[in-house]
Amino acid sequence: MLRAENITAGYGKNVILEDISFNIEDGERFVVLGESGCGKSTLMKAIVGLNPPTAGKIFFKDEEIVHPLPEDSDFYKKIGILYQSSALMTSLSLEENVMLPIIMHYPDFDTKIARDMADEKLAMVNLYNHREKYPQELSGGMKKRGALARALVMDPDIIFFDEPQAGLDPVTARDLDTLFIKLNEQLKTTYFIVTHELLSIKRTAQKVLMLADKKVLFYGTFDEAMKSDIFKVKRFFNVDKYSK
Amino acid sequence: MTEKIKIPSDITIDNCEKVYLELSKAVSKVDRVEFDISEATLNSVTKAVLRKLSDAYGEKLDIAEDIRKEIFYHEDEPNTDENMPAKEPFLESFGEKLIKTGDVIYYFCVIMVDMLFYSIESLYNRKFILKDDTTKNAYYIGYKAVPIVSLLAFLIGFTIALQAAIQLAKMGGQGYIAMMSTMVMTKELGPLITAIIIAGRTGSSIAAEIGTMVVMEEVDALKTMGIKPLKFLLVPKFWAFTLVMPVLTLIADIAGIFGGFIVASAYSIPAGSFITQMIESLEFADIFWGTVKSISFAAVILAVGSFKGLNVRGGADAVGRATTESVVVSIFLVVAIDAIFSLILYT
Repeated sequence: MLRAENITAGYGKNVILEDISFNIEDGERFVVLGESGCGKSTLMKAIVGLNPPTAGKIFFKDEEIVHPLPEDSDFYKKIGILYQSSALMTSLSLEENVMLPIIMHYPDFDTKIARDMADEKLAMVNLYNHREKYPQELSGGMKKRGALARALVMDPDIIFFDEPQAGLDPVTARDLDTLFIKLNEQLKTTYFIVTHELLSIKRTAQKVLMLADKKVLFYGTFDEAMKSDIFKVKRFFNVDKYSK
Repeated sequence: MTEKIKIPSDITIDNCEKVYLELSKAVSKVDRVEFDISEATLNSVTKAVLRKLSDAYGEKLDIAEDIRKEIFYHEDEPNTDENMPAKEPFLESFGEKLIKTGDVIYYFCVIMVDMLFYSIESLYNRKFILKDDTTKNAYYIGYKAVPIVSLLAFLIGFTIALQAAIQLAKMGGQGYIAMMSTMVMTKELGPLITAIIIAGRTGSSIAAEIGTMVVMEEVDALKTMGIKPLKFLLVPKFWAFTLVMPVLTLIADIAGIFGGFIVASAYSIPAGSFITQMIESLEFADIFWGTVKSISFAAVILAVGSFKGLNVRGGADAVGRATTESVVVSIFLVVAIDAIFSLILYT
């Protein structure tokens, strides 16, 4: 589904990531983890083109993605992103937010059908009854679910999650994880999750990529990560046992 | 001989200066000092007082290692020559500033050109444009601004006419108030007042709106949905501005001339005579160039507001700064463009 080869990324002269490679299979829940500031979000931004990599190659469905993408590229129609801040447009209702990708890309598309497609996704995330509300009227967890509905509306092949649990209480975070897993199993959409929330990683991760000191510290399945002998990996998963 | 000085237990922010002076006096009288902190509460003020004493009388103080550990702190990373940023030579920093200024001008021009290009493109390609967005923007930018624009234009027209009338009356030329009001408002003040009000009212709100969208990752979300943020955000506003600015300018012209009419009435000039003179002074070219100017001002205000908003980095304070800067830069550019128009049209 998504393959990265020797990616280097950063901001100006400040190199954050060097020589990052990985491969994500179809339908997989791939989690990028690491301590704060290790470059998890930078990696996501490099892949989606918000801060393109300075070196290396990205392949999406075996096709190389070179940012900035040409006008006729379909890449952005095939991906969905759930931002840390949800990033719902405050001037639009929840339903209009979810419809936005459809009506923007297909201005002549029947609005009724677009609305119906949006409502279906809102029902999937249990927000159908709140569809007329504006983002500022919703709780943090509802905003995240609304953003997930928007990310799903174009039936993407992969969804990127940037710290989806940030700012949520443990109960809401757990419910959100359960919803993520349910939709992943139901829709077979690939997940690229950037997080450092241990409980969430344990619940959702199938394959993990751990970043440290600009490089890949660990890359493998979640079970392998739990058995890893690398000190920083062990400490990450058992922070009380291995910290001073 | 080492003297023991008892550190009081009740050092607070209110009395710390007094306590320091007392302790300082006591320390200065003896050769060597040891602090007795047995009764002291080692709160942050007490520790700061002890550190200040140590700075002043370091060589006299005998501080036990355990107390020292409690009182003193060390920086995260001591500054060494290696991790201190090297001071840039003047030429290098000057060159860097020049390049940055060039980048700012270049980026501003890109926004201006993109905005014009996408606006024209939107006439036949509605992709990335929200239905009714132009109407909504026209309502907020135009209709909602009518009261403030007309009131200010009326007051300015009234004040200018009054000042002029006082001088004209000395020469018996009150009859020229209508001509003066009409020419001043249509040629110069109508478009200028409107642009300045809109720069303060709408330009700032555009910068704040887009800046907040940047901070809240909404602009990133647009990009990764494959939507061109410039087209989505600016085109409806551009058309709304283009439609409402000439109308607002016309309203400002009328309100300003009406201010002149009130003054003229006070100077016993008949309404009929005022209107006749006003019609005689009105030139189509003035209205036309006033419209052209108002559209140029609109484009500049919109481009500056968007430019400042899109360049917001950080949080709420950065949005506030962008808002202020957008108003200052917009008004400066509006006045500069007006001067250029005046130079071209009237010399």
